[in-house]
Amino acid sequence: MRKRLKRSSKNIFPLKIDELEHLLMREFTNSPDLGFSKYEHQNKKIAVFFITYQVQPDKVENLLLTPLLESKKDWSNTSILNEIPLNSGKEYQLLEEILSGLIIGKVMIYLEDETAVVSYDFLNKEKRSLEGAETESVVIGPKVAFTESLVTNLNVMRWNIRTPDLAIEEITIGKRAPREVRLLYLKSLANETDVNTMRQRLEDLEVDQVEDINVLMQYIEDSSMSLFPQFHTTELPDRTSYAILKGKIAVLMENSPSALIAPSSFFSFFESTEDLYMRWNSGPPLRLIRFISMFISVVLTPMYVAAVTFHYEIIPTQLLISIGQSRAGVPFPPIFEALFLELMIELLREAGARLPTKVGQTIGIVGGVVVGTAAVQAGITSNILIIFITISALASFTAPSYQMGTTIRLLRFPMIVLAGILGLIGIMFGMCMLIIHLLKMTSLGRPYLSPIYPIHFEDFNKALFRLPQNFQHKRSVSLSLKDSIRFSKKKAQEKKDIDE
Amino acid sequence: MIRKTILLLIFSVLLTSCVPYKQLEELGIINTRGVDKIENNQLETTIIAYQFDAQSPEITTTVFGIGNTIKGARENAGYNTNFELSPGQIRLELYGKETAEDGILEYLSTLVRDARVSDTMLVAVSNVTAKEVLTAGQEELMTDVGQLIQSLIEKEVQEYSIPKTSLQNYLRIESDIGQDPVVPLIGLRDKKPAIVGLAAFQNDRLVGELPIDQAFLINVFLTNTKDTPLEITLQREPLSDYIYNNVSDTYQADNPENEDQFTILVKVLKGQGDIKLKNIEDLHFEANIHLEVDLYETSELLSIKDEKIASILEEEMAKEFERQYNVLFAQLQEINSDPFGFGIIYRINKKDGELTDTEWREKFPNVTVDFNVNVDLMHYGTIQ
Repeated sequence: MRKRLKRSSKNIFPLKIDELEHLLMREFTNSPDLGFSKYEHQNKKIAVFFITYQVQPDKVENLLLTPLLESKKDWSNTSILNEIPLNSGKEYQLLEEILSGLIIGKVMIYLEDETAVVSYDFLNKEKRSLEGAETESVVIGPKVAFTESLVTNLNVMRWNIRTPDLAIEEITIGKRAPREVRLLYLKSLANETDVNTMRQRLEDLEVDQVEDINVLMQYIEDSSMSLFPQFHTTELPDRTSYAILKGKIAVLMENSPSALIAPSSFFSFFESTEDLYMRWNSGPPLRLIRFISMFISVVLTPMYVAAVTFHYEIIPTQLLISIGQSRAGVPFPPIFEALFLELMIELLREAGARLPTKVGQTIGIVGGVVVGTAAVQAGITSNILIIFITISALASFTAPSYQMGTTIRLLRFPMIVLAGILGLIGIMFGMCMLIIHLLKMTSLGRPYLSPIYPIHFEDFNKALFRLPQNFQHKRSVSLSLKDSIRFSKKKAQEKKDIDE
Repeated sequence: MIRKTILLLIFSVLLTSCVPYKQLEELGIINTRGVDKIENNQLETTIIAYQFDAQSPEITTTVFGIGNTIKGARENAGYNTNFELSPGQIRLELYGKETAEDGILEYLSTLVRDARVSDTMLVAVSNVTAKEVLTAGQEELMTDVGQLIQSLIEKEVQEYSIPKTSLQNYLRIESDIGQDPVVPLIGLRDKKPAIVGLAAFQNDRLVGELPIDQAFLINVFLTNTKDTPLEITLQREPLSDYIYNNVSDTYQADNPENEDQFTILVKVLKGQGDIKLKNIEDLHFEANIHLEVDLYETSELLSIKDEKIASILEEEMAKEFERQYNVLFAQLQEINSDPFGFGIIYRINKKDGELTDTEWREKFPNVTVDFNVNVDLMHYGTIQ
């Protein structure tokens, strides 16, 4: 490593074409990918070299080689840069620069005995086209999702937020295999401390490489021991731009099809862009369902275990009879019965997620029949519990954020164990621990449970429910933005329609 | 910090120690219990319990136990069953007549102190022994008699035909000085359990039985009643001009000397009772009852074309209700039981506001009450 650094910082030019070829071949360990062609033009030796699959060969041919070789001029570096009609011309002198340039698809031209190489960009990047969102599918509203190409993503974002106010800062992270990261925010809106914190966290990161934005999230989040995600990652550009326009910060990363949104509160994980697109009075009940289902998902199975193991008196008499009858033949204590079934559901889910779609359907049917019917008939589980487990599994899938959904599903297991050991006391104990933990957490230094704690009644309108648009004249207080007013409330309430 | 948290967690789990398991399928869950006193001051309990046995489809079981205390009797009954009898789901406790006459407070207090037992459970008294009602019914009906009696009582309570008789209600009224509880009296009709009357208590001792149709009269003072069906028999005489005779096609009855009564069924839409102390020296009270009724059915055809009939009916009904109240009150004074709560009104109006139980027991038989019933006939012609 040291030797290499020493050598690369030295200017190697001028040298003979053959020497250069030799040098490059050694660096690329004789790779056949390196195209190195030598020409003789007006008695001057010219070398053109590039990595074959990183460039667009027909463009190189038409735009570079043809004018270069057909001209009767006596070329020099300056004349090439001046006369070839391409805008990306640059001169490189250091070997290290040449090598990294070649890797990303630059075409290098070397005239023998010159002191630098001239390079042109003919980048050929394979990318897929824009597609609909898969993990965060929506019914109404824009459906397009981010792709792995940063350029495409930035393009989409620029079209979404068409203002020069949108700052896009470039930061490179990863020491051994660097990746480009972009920080997006609104200059006139975003809290400066938040932006600085995020920029600093990204810049201070010293790692070999970062694989994906979800990995990046784990590097820069506030509490790495917590089970809860502290930044929202989304694959929806419209959701990202909505967050930016609310004054949050977004991070995009090369080769990663999702954006990171910070700061994120606990409640923002249950927001869907659809809440916004639906009418103000029909969207919020759906959000309420998501909150309730989160609670159900964490508490329902533990409650069953606690009630059947310790507190039979809290079950209504009629329900007690049917639970009792279905429990009668089950040889395991309720805690094992519940853990077994929960595990079964997780198995099904995991198998379904790993397998190809066509096989996945089979798994669903097999799992449904085996777990649903056969297990009850064999007397391994009670059918009432199956209903509860199914409800809580369904409930956990309602969270719009996959990360949050997974967290909620995992939380059930310690709760079931606590309920099985201590009953309702155990559930309360677990809930207290959970709430203490959530209260202590932060996202980019901002309270995770905001606006419930610290309490901001003004923000309830945004985090928990939503009033009609003309009541949305204020921006979120808990983000402490540069500009807290969206529009004049008075003006919004003026009637402008024609009186008849 | 992490070490502290982990230590705290471990300690809090260890210090809570093990909670005793009460696994549903290992329990015999007592649903209904009958308590009877037998010779030598011993108690016999009749327990209807649910047990969930994989081998048997039958879930209700009846067991008997004898002991000196309720819990002792339960332990004794436990020898009869392979399930642990537990009282957490008890919904009805039925006391034998003789038991109730000796006082039931000691049995109720064990129930109310047990945190597992719901305070909304029902209390009832049997007009024979509890065992007889519970077992006879079980044999005859082949169903869960406990559930049957509960739904009987709950249905009537919902119709406001009888006052609420939950454990909590009973104990509240019992411990109030100047008011006595009433509970439904369960007996056997055609060998099947039925509500046959109302048991009037003096403190916690059963002192008398009231007919079931008088329960409504008491309930009007305990709560605002709604939609209670009621059959009431009136004097025929004032109505005779409007009774239609379809044999002779006239308004002349065939043989009026034979019948002097005319029965109607009304639904009391709204019933309110209010007691006022008129004279504290003479212990003279005034009780105002306001009833709004719908006429549903008459025993003979009644011409309702004439508007006058409405006011006649209202007047006759009020008269009949006043008569019933006077009869009921006389009976209650005789047994010295005060379910209306005249004593409470007396205590409120008394200067020092203090009243002892013995004082009120002495005074109650000398109380005079004017019952003023005001009946409003809201709709007639509705037949349902």
